[in-house]
Amino acid sequence: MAPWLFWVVCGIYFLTTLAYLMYVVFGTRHLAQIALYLLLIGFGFHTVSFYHDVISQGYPYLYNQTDALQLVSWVSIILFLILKSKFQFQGAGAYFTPIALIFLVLSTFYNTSYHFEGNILASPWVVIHLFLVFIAFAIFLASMVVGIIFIMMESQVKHKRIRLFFQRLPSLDMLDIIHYRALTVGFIFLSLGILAGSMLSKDIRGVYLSEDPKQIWVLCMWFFFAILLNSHFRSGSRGRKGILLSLIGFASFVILVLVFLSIRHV
Amino acid sequence: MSENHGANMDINFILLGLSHKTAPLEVREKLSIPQDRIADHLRSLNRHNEIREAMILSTCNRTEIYVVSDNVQRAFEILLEKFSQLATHINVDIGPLLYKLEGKEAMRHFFHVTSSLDAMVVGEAQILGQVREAYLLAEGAGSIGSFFHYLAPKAFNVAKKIRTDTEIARHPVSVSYVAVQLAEQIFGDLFDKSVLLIGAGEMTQLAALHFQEKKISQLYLTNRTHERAVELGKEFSAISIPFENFISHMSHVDIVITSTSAESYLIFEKDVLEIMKQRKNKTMFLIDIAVPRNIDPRVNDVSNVYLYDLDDLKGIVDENLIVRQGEAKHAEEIVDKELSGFIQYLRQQSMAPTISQLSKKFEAIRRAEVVKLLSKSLSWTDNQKNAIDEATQAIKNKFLHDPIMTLKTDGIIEEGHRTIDFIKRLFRLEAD
Repeated sequence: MAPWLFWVVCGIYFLTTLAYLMYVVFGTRHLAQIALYLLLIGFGFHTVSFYHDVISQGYPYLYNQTDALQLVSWVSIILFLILKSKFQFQGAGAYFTPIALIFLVLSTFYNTSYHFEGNILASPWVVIHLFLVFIAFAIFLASMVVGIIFIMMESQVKHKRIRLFFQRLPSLDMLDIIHYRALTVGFIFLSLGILAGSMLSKDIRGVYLSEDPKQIWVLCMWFFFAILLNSHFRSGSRGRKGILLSLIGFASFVILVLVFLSIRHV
Repeated sequence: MSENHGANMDINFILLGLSHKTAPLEVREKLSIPQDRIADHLRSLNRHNEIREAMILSTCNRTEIYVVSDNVQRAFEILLEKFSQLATHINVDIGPLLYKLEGKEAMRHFFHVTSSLDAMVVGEAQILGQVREAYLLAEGAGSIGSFFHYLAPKAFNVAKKIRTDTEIARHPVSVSYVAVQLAEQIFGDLFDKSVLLIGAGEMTQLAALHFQEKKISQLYLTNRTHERAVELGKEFSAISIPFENFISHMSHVDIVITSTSAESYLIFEKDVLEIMKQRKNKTMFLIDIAVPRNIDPRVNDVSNVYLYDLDDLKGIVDENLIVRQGEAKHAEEIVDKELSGFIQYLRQQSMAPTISQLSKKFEAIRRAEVVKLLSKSLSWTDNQKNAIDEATQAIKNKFLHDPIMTLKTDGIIEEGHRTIDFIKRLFRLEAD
């Protein structure tokens, strides 16, 4: 992303965040409208520069940390727009826009290009694998944000301390539904990402599953989410406990991504 | 029926009335005018030459008569006579209970009333409908003219603006409505939710009405006296179930409201734990408005179960009342701003005929002089005629521009009808 464009997008996302926060606090609908227009302008610039980056860099896209973080930022905005249009969850802008902004700003700090070992770049699976995993990460992140909003709101309802912002949020049931839907979609992307990863492993190591601690970790995480979703759909695990468990699973995903972002050799 | 006088700024708008702020209930209820009698009262007011337009607003909290008149003093006397007639059968001196307002203050009061800022429960929605009804009644009786046709829609717009731009109406202040709003916050739309009412008290019935407005999927009802449950069930289109086994029905209802006079708990934690297993942990909302309570408070500890008792709901009501009071200040600022705009609009409207007369007079002079000039010679070419016409138009417009702009500005308009009179005398507009 061209530096000036990067700061324009950051500036617009910052203003959008302020507008959404003010909307959540004061409840003025005009503010939500202004925030949405700002967001769409910022997202337009973001998309154009994103497209430009992909085209100008050519293959291999996602070869550095910056690309990965900017992808998460871009997907976060898309997810918010889906939440807004499908669930009328305007207030989510106060959470998702700052997340997109934080990931954009982080992308300037984490800007190291990876050193791809051996003939790894010869395999097309590397980009597919990274793309799917980072999209899964963004969707899981969205699911967790909604889960945290649920926990805060549930605590207010449970302890009868209903305060500010209460009326700008969807119902508890709706938050629970959004959380699990996002978790399910994220899980599908994660599963596809893991499959692409095993194809990559086969290409470069000759085996689908090696003893790489990352692979073992990912598999454990996959089983954890699989059990969690199974218990949700089969036996009705829901509400606070289910969300707390999914947050534990997500923490392991965050650790994995941090490990990946801190290494130089892939 | 009053004539259409236009929104003239020398119209005097006045009000005489009493409300919950000045008169006790026993007086208000005696002075309240039934809806079917209002039209007669309006017609009797309109028979007075001094009354141009009249509207009566009579609710359980206020009886107010709004009038447009050329003679304020006489209009107040007529209104006082009207109130005295209404009060003939009560032994109370109503003079000190009445308030009278005129001009801008009367308009501000009308805006406050319509926006529910003068209500007993600030922000309640009912009053807007009542003012609308009073307006339609007056229109039907032919007692209002153009002034009310300007004022009332403006007041409705202001009320709507206040409801959307402030938090004044978003915080319910009745226990039963707080319960409904909590249910919506927990479940979202209630159209696929079922409700069980345990007990047949007044509060339960009110809650049932509120929930039914939300188009719930099914209402169940139980009562110690089964016949009473059946009777109420018919009234609310609810299914009545035997009191002895209502617990077994709870697994397929989402919201439970209890208000029996039982001396001990009817629902315990162990019951709810069992019910939640059968419901696969689907969320449940329990509202206990009974005193003493019907539900063991430990039920609230069960996951995905939310229990609110009367004190919890009253606590929310009290907080909401405070929020509404705070929002009322913001709403009053909106009223002041909108009122200033409205008064300015009225004043501009009142200047319009004078400005039009002035323009017409100048145009007539210009045309006459152009005709006179052109008749002096037959050798004018079309181009010359057009040039003369355009030049005289331009001179007229430049002469008129400053006076018209000044007339439209606040400074001159503040002077009111005296300015209009002066302009009319200066240019002899009436004479023409």
